Amino acid sequence: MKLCDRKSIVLLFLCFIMGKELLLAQNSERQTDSTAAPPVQSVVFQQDSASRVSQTRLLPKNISFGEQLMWGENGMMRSIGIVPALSPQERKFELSLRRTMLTTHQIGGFISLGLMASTVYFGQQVLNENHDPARRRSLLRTHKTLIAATIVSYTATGLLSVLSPPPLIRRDENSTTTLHKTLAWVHVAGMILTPIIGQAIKHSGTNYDKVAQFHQIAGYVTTATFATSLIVITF
Amino acid sequence: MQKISGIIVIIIGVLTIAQSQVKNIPCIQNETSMTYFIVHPLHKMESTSKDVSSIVRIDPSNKTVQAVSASVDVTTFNSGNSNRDSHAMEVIDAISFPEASFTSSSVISRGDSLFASGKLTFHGISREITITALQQWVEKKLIIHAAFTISLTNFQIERPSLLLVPVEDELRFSLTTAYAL
Repeated sequence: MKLCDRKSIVLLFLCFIMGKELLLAQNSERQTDSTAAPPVQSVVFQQDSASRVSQTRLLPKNISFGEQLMWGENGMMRSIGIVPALSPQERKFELSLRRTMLTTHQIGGFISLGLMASTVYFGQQVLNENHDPARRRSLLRTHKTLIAATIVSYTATGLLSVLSPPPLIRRDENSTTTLHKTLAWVHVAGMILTPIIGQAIKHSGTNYDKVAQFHQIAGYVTTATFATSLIVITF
Repeated sequence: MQKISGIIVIIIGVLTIAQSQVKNIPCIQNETSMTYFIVHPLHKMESTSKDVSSIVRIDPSNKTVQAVSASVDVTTFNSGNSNRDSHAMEVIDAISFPEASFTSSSVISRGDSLFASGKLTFHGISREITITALQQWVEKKLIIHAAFTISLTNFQIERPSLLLVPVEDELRFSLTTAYAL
């Protein structure tokens, strides 16, 4: 073998070593830049064991005033001792409680809508009955019974949502839930005003027709708004 | 002349070594996203997270993907309705299991297609799955579009419900990751 060939082989060997070192150094540099990726040979297979530990917030950033008051870190529920101090385990229980309350809220919504629609139906029957006073009194009794049932069901349904523990996250956004909550302001107002106007019918005297019509419109608008708030949640 | 040929041999040797080195490349964060699709009898919804970490092991010499791994913070999915996302986090117990991850054990490349088999860990449960993906080797980038479907029941996840009607058991994922070569 010629000297030059041997030199070439040695040089080739040295370059091989240097090249490898250079590449390893480059890889190491790239990994440092890329948020500390694991070493070359084990990167992919170590990923899950060395995975990021996410610091999940236990309470949402945008917790409402009412939720903070009741379910916040130093909220009423904790200070009274109804629920223990905030912890991941406790929060899991609260989210489960929230789910139960909101599922019941959904069932309550359907029941309330059924009762509300029946109340409106019988209210309309009272207004339509002008010939038979006995039947009118009977219809009015049914209407009043349904009013009481609607108020109880509606209030319980609303409280299940209002008093439920806060969700895990809440963002500033416009969603179907936002619309559902906005419509709630309208039907809550309707649920307060409609019975008040209904009571006013008794003392309306000569304005009977006018007050009854207000009561009728308020009842229809409240029922329609309530039904809409139920429907929007499905979109 | 012999010296020159020796140097050429050396250069070619070094370049060959350089080319044959496999590389572990992390994803480009702002070009990577994961979306899940869920079907309810009343409507379909999708939720996307940009908080995906992924590393791919490639052999640049023959443009082959040898292994891949990805993980996502499940609390970062956004469907545009935080109430719905919060509900999803409840059912997957995001407090205990804030991360879902996939680690390949074998990757087969056929043309533009990739078939990555490996372990998917979700809701604290690990299952072997095969993910089908499309690989695009563009100038200085490798882009992978992957899709896979899992069964919620198989991962011991209670199906979330709306108006007392549960969603379908199949949960479809799509993942787009980009890597700078």
